[in-house]
Amino acid sequence: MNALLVGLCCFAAHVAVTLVWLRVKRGPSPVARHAASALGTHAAGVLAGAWVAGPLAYWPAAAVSGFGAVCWLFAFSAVYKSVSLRILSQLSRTPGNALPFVAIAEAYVRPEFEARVAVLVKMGCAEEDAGGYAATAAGNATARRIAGIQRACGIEASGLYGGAIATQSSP
Amino acid sequence: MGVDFVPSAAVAAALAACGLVPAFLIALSHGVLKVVAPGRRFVLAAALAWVAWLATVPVTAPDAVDLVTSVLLLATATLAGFTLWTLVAWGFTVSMLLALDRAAAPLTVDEWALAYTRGKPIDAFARDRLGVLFKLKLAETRGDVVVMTPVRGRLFALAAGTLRTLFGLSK
Repeated sequence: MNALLVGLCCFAAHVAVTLVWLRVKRGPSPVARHAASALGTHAAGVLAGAWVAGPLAYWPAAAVSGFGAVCWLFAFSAVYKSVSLRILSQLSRTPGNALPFVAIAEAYVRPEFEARVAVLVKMGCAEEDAGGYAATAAGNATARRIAGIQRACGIEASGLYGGAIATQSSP
Repeated sequence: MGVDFVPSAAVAAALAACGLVPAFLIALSHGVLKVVAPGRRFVLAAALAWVAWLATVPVTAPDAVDLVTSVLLLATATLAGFTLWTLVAWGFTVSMLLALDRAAAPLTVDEWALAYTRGKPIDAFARDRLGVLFKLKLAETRGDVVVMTPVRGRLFALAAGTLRTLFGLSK
């Protein structure tokens, strides 16, 4: 039971650290901050727990703090990147909570696409020249690795929840 | 002071079941066992791993702490696996990079969007992401207008807004 409580304390410390660290403008990516905080608070918490409470079973503490950290990251990822939740948030701020489909596609989905273009350029995976955007050597290498993982996982076409071929093109 | 890293039989069985999640996923991705829809494939792989663990419970006879630990370990593996799976199967930025890598020549943003949706207009992507909101009954269509549902949609939007504020993200 002590080990479960130690795991809970590790998770509480992780929550506190991320809530502060995510507000710092410079530094590693948000996901890297989550990972570093989860590992750091877990290691420190387990050692502190063993020092305070005596011999400690590792796995119950790891299970609680690991589960909490994954749920925390899941919640963060949902609101940080999800296009669907962004659209829902826009709907909630609009009078009548309604928007024409065309407006959603043009005013919210297209800018989201352009924002990801900027992310890929910033990451050094894509570059813009006079003819448009092209993958860099690093981008090509990353794409090949991802394609390899997709082949191993039997995924033929990615990107659309409905599948690239089956997606409707008209209302 | 000491930390016991040796898992009990019940926890060891749960850890083995965690390893079965990716193993079942790979097995269900190829050949006669292949489940075509990536979402269903993940659900089936995770379910099989949970069933495999449940089958060991009568043999390992876990106490309350071991039971909680085992369930949390498997839940962590399921949630972490799902997060990675969504990235590989439907990841927005990942799929954009793959589309750019497939292109023989530099692309404008519009051409890139077409390559991403494999020839469908940007509407197809908007419709695909809106499909998630429709499926979860967070929004509905009224003609060409998308409307947030009054109860469930509002609650989700409120929760997403609260989480964005909590994580220090802009609204």
